[in-house]
Amino acid sequence: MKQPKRSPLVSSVNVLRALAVGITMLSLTGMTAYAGGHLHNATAPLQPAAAATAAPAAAAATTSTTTGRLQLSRGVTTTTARPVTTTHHS
Amino acid sequence: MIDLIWIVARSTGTAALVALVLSVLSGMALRSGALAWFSHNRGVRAVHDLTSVLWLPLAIAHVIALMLDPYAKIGFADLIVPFLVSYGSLAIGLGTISLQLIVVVLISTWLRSSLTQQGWLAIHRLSYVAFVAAFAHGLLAGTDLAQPLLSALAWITAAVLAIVGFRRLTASRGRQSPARSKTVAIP
Repeated sequence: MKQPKRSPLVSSVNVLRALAVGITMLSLTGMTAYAGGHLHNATAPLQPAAAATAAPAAAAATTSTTTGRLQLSRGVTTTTARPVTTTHHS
Repeated sequence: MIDLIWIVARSTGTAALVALVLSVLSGMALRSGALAWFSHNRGVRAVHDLTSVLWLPLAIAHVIALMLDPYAKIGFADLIVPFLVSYGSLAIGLGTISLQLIVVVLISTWLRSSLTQQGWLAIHRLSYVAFVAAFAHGLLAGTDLAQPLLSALAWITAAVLAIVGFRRLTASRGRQSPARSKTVAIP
Protein backbone atom coordinates (compact mmCIF):
# COMPACT_ATOMS: atom_id res chain seq x y z
CA MET A 1 0.00 0.00 0.00
CA LYS A 2 1.41 3.37 -1.00
CA GLN A 3 1.77 5.85 1.88
CA PRO A 4 0.58 9.41 1.26
CA LYS A 5 3.44 11.86 0.82
CA ARG A 6 3.73 14.32 3.72
CA SER A 7 3.59 17.96 2.69
CA PRO A 8 6.41 20.19 3.95
CA LEU A 9 5.93 22.61 6.84
CA VAL A 10 6.23 25.74 4.67
CA SER A 11 5.20 25.48 1.05
CA SER A 12 5.07 29.15 0.06
CA VAL A 13 8.29 30.41 -1.51
CA ASN A 14 7.56 33.98 -0.47
CA VAL A 15 7.08 32.96 3.16
CA LEU A 16 10.45 31.21 3.03
CA ARG A 17 12.10 34.28 1.53
CA ALA A 18 10.52 36.48 4.20
CA LEU A 19 11.73 34.05 6.87
CA ALA A 20 15.31 34.19 5.57
CA VAL A 21 15.27 38.00 5.39
CA GLY A 22 13.65 38.11 8.83
CA ILE A 23 16.34 35.94 10.44
CA THR A 24 19.11 38.02 8.87
CA MET A 25 17.51 41.34 9.78
CA LEU A 26 16.78 40.11 13.30
CA SER A 27 20.45 39.28 13.76
CA LEU A 28 21.37 42.69 12.33
CA THR A 29 19.08 44.69 14.61
CA GLY A 30 19.72 42.46 17.61
CA MET A 31 23.47 42.79 17.17
CA THR A 32 23.16 46.56 16.67
CA ALA A 33 21.24 46.86 19.93
CA TYR A 34 23.69 44.61 21.72
CA ALA A 35 26.78 46.36 20.34
CA GLY A 36 25.29 49.75 21.22
CA GLY A 37 24.93 48.66 24.82
CA HIS A 38 28.28 46.88 25.01
CA LEU A 39 30.88 49.10 23.38
CA HIS A 40 33.67 47.83 25.60
CA ASN A 41 34.77 44.26 25.38
CA ALA A 42 37.88 43.51 27.35
CA THR A 43 37.59 39.79 26.57
CA ALA A 44 37.65 40.31 22.79
CA PRO A 45 40.09 37.89 21.21
CA LEU A 46 41.63 40.56 19.03
CA GLN A 47 42.80 44.02 20.00
CA PRO A 48 44.82 46.30 17.72
CA ALA A 49 48.41 46.96 18.73
CA ALA A 50 47.43 50.41 19.98
CA ALA A 51 45.39 48.83 22.74
CA ALA A 52 48.32 46.93 24.16
CA THR A 53 50.57 49.95 24.38
CA ALA A 54 48.08 52.67 25.22
CA ALA A 55 46.00 50.85 27.80
CA PRO A 56 48.61 50.82 30.61
CA ALA A 57 49.31 54.51 30.06
CA ALA A 58 45.61 55.27 30.15
CA ALA A 59 45.17 53.29 33.32
CA ALA A 60 48.01 55.16 34.96
CA ALA A 61 46.81 58.59 33.92
CA THR A 62 43.22 58.17 35.05
CA THR A 63 41.57 56.62 38.03
CA SER A 64 39.13 54.73 35.81
CA THR A 65 39.42 50.96 35.84
CA THR A 66 37.79 50.41 32.45
CA THR A 67 39.94 49.71 29.43
CA GLY A 68 38.84 49.25 25.88
CA ARG A 69 38.00 50.93 22.64
CA LEU A 70 36.04 53.98 23.85
CA GLN A 71 38.81 55.22 26.08
CA LEU A 72 41.37 54.78 23.34
CA SER A 73 39.38 56.16 20.47
CA ARG A 74 38.48 59.31 22.33
CA GLY A 75 41.97 59.90 23.62
CA VAL A 76 43.38 59.79 27.10
CA THR A 77 42.22 62.53 29.40
CA THR A 78 44.37 63.78 32.22
CA THR A 79 43.03 64.28 35.69
CA THR A 80 44.00 66.44 38.60
CA ALA A 81 42.19 64.31 41.12
CA ARG A 82 44.10 63.25 44.16
CA PRO A 83 45.00 59.59 44.55
CA VAL A 84 42.12 57.61 45.96
CA THR A 85 44.30 55.26 47.98
CA THR A 86 45.35 56.52 51.40
CA THR A 87 47.22 54.87 54.20
CA HIS A 88 46.05 55.08 57.74
CA HIS A 89 48.55 55.70 60.48
CA SER A 90 47.31 54.91 63.93
CA MET B 1 30.58 58.84 15.14
CA ILE B 2 33.43 56.39 15.69
CA ASP B 3 31.21 54.45 18.06
CA LEU B 4 28.51 54.25 15.38
CA ILE B 5 31.01 52.93 12.83
CA TRP B 6 32.17 50.35 15.35
CA ILE B 7 28.57 49.26 16.02
CA VAL B 8 27.84 49.00 12.28
CA ALA B 9 31.02 46.96 11.74
CA ARG B 10 30.04 44.47 14.45
CA SER B 11 26.37 44.14 13.53
CA THR B 12 26.92 43.79 9.78
CA GLY B 13 29.71 41.26 10.37
CA THR B 14 27.44 39.07 12.47
CA ALA B 15 24.47 39.46 10.09
CA ALA B 16 26.70 38.61 7.11
CA LEU B 17 27.78 35.43 8.87
CA VAL B 18 24.13 34.55 9.57
CA ALA B 19 23.22 35.11 5.89
CA LEU B 20 26.19 32.96 4.88
CA VAL B 21 25.06 30.19 7.25
CA LEU B 22 21.58 30.26 5.67
CA SER B 23 23.10 30.21 2.21
CA VAL B 24 25.40 27.25 2.91
CA LEU B 25 22.69 25.37 4.79
CA SER B 26 20.13 25.77 2.02
CA GLY B 27 22.76 24.95 -0.61
CA MET B 28 23.67 21.68 1.09
CA ALA B 29 20.02 20.83 1.73
CA LEU B 30 19.25 21.15 -1.99
CA ARG B 31 21.14 17.95 -2.75
CA SER B 32 20.74 16.03 0.49
CA GLY B 33 17.06 16.79 1.09
CA ALA B 34 17.89 17.56 4.71
CA LEU B 35 15.22 20.26 4.82
CA ALA B 36 12.57 18.23 2.99
CA TRP B 37 10.46 18.19 6.16
CA PHE B 38 10.56 21.98 6.21
CA SER B 39 10.04 22.94 2.58
CA HIS B 40 10.16 21.65 -0.97
CA ASN B 41 13.28 22.00 -3.12
CA ARG B 42 11.95 25.03 -5.00
CA GLY B 43 11.59 26.94 -1.74
CA VAL B 44 15.03 25.88 -0.49
CA ARG B 45 16.53 27.04 -3.79
CA ALA B 46 14.76 30.40 -3.47
CA VAL B 47 16.27 30.83 0.01
CA HIS B 48 19.71 29.82 -1.30
CA ASP B 49 19.55 32.36 -4.14
CA LEU B 50 18.25 35.13 -1.88
CA THR B 51 20.72 34.68 0.98
CA SER B 52 23.66 34.59 -1.41
CA VAL B 53 22.65 38.06 -2.58
CA LEU B 54 21.65 39.20 0.92
CA TRP B 55 25.13 38.43 2.18
CA LEU B 56 26.86 40.81 -0.23
CA PRO B 57 25.64 44.25 1.01
CA LEU B 58 26.19 43.17 4.62
CA ALA B 59 29.75 42.09 3.90
CA ILE B 60 30.44 45.29 1.95
CA ALA B 61 29.04 47.39 4.83
CA HIS B 62 31.19 45.39 7.29
CA VAL B 63 34.34 46.02 5.27
CA ILE B 64 33.62 49.74 4.64
CA ALA B 65 32.86 50.31 8.33
CA LEU B 66 36.15 48.70 9.35
CA MET B 67 38.04 50.74 6.76
CA LEU B 68 36.50 53.94 8.14
CA ASP B 69 37.25 52.98 11.73
CA PRO B 70 40.62 54.46 12.72
CA TYR B 71 40.89 52.01 15.61
CA ALA B 72 40.69 48.92 13.37
CA LYS B 73 43.44 50.17 11.02
CA ILE B 74 42.17 48.22 7.99
CA GLY B 75 43.31 49.62 4.66
CA PHE B 76 42.32 49.04 1.06
CA ALA B 77 45.41 46.89 0.52
CA ASP B 78 44.15 44.49 3.21
CA LEU B 79 41.16 43.70 0.99
CA ILE B 80 43.46 42.64 -1.84
CA VAL B 81 46.34 40.98 0.01
CA PRO B 82 45.49 38.90 3.09
CA PHE B 83 47.65 38.74 6.25
CA LEU B 84 49.02 42.27 5.82
CA VAL B 85 47.42 43.82 8.91
CA SER B 86 49.85 44.72 11.67
CA TYR B 87 47.86 42.86 14.33
CA GLY B 88 45.87 39.61 14.20
CA SER B 89 47.01 39.00 10.66
CA LEU B 90 45.69 35.42 10.62
CA ALA B 91 42.24 36.34 11.96
CA ILE B 92 41.75 39.28 9.61
CA GLY B 93 43.47 37.54 6.70
CA LEU B 94 40.93 34.70 6.94
CA GLY B 95 38.18 37.30 6.57
CA THR B 96 39.88 38.67 3.45
CA ILE B 97 40.21 35.19 1.97
CA SER B 98 36.57 34.31 2.65
CA LEU B 99 35.42 37.61 1.12
CA GLN B 100 37.47 37.06 -2.01
CA LEU B 101 36.35 33.43 -2.38
CA ILE B 102 32.66 34.25 -2.01
CA VAL B 103 32.93 37.09 -4.51
CA VAL B 104 34.50 34.60 -6.96
CA VAL B 105 31.67 32.13 -6.26
CA LEU B 106 29.04 34.84 -6.80
CA ILE B 107 30.62 35.99 -10.06
CA SER B 108 30.83 32.40 -11.28
CA THR B 109 27.13 31.98 -10.51
CA TRP B 110 26.26 35.05 -12.56
CA LEU B 111 28.43 33.73 -15.42
CA ARG B 112 27.17 30.18 -15.08
CA SER B 113 25.81 29.99 -18.61
CA SER B 114 29.26 30.63 -20.06
CA LEU B 115 30.99 28.04 -17.84
CA THR B 116 31.02 24.27 -18.10
CA GLN B 117 29.05 22.41 -15.42
CA GLN B 118 32.24 20.87 -14.00
CA GLY B 119 34.02 24.22 -13.95
CA TRP B 120 31.12 25.96 -12.27
CA LEU B 121 30.80 23.17 -9.69
CA ALA B 122 34.52 23.31 -8.90
CA ILE B 123 34.31 27.06 -8.27
CA HIS B 124 31.02 26.73 -6.37
CA ARG B 125 32.57 24.22 -3.95
CA LEU B 126 35.00 26.95 -2.88
CA SER B 127 32.09 28.35 -0.87
CA TYR B 128 32.70 25.60 1.73
CA VAL B 129 36.28 26.80 2.16
CA ALA B 130 35.02 30.37 2.26
CA PHE B 131 32.49 29.54 4.95
CA VAL B 132 35.08 27.80 7.13
CA ALA B 133 37.39 30.82 6.69
CA ALA B 134 34.55 33.22 7.56
CA PHE B 135 33.60 31.19 10.63
CA ALA B 136 37.22 31.08 11.83
CA HIS B 137 37.48 34.82 11.12
CA GLY B 138 34.41 35.39 13.29
CA LEU B 139 35.81 33.28 16.11
CA LEU B 140 39.32 34.69 16.05
CA ALA B 141 38.63 38.34 15.23
CA GLY B 142 35.01 38.72 16.24
CA THR B 143 34.62 40.84 19.31
CA ASP B 144 31.19 39.44 20.07
CA LEU B 145 31.81 35.76 19.53
CA ALA B 146 33.80 35.92 22.78
CA GLN B 147 30.46 36.29 24.57
CA PRO B 148 29.31 32.88 25.88
CA LEU B 149 25.76 33.11 24.46
CA LEU B 150 26.86 34.15 20.98
CA SER B 151 29.69 31.64 21.03
CA ALA B 152 27.26 28.85 21.96
CA LEU B 153 24.89 29.88 19.15
CA ALA B 154 27.78 29.93 16.67
CA TRP B 155 28.97 26.45 17.65
CA ILE B 156 25.44 25.01 17.58
CA THR B 157 25.03 26.45 14.07
CA ALA B 158 28.38 24.97 13.05
CA ALA B 159 27.30 21.58 14.41
CA VAL B 160 24.02 21.71 12.43
CA LEU B 161 25.96 22.58 9.29
CA ALA B 162 28.39 19.74 9.92
CA ILE B 163 25.50 17.27 10.28
CA VAL B 164 23.79 18.52 7.10
CA GLY B 165 27.16 18.47 5.33
CA PHE B 166 27.69 14.87 6.39
CA ARG B 167 24.22 13.95 5.09
CA ARG B 168 25.00 15.76 1.84
CA LEU B 169 28.22 13.75 1.51
CA THR B 170 26.55 10.42 2.26
CA ALA B 171 23.65 11.25 -0.10
CA SER B 172 26.03 11.92 -2.99
CA ARG B 173 28.01 8.74 -2.19
CA GLY B 174 24.73 6.80 -2.16
CA ARG B 175 23.87 8.11 -5.62
CA GLN B 176 27.32 7.20 -6.96
CA SER B 177 27.38 3.60 -5.63
CA PRO B 178 24.79 1.99 -7.98
CA ALA B 179 26.44 3.61 -10.98
CA ARG B 180 29.81 2.22 -9.94
CA SER B 181 28.44 -1.29 -9.45
CA LYS B 182 26.83 -1.07 -12.88
CA THR B 183 30.12 -0.07 -14.42
CA VAL B 184 31.82 -3.03 -12.78
CA ALA B 185 29.13 -5.38 -14.04
CA ILE B 186 29.73 -4.39 -17.65
CA PRO B 187 32.28 -6.75 -19.14
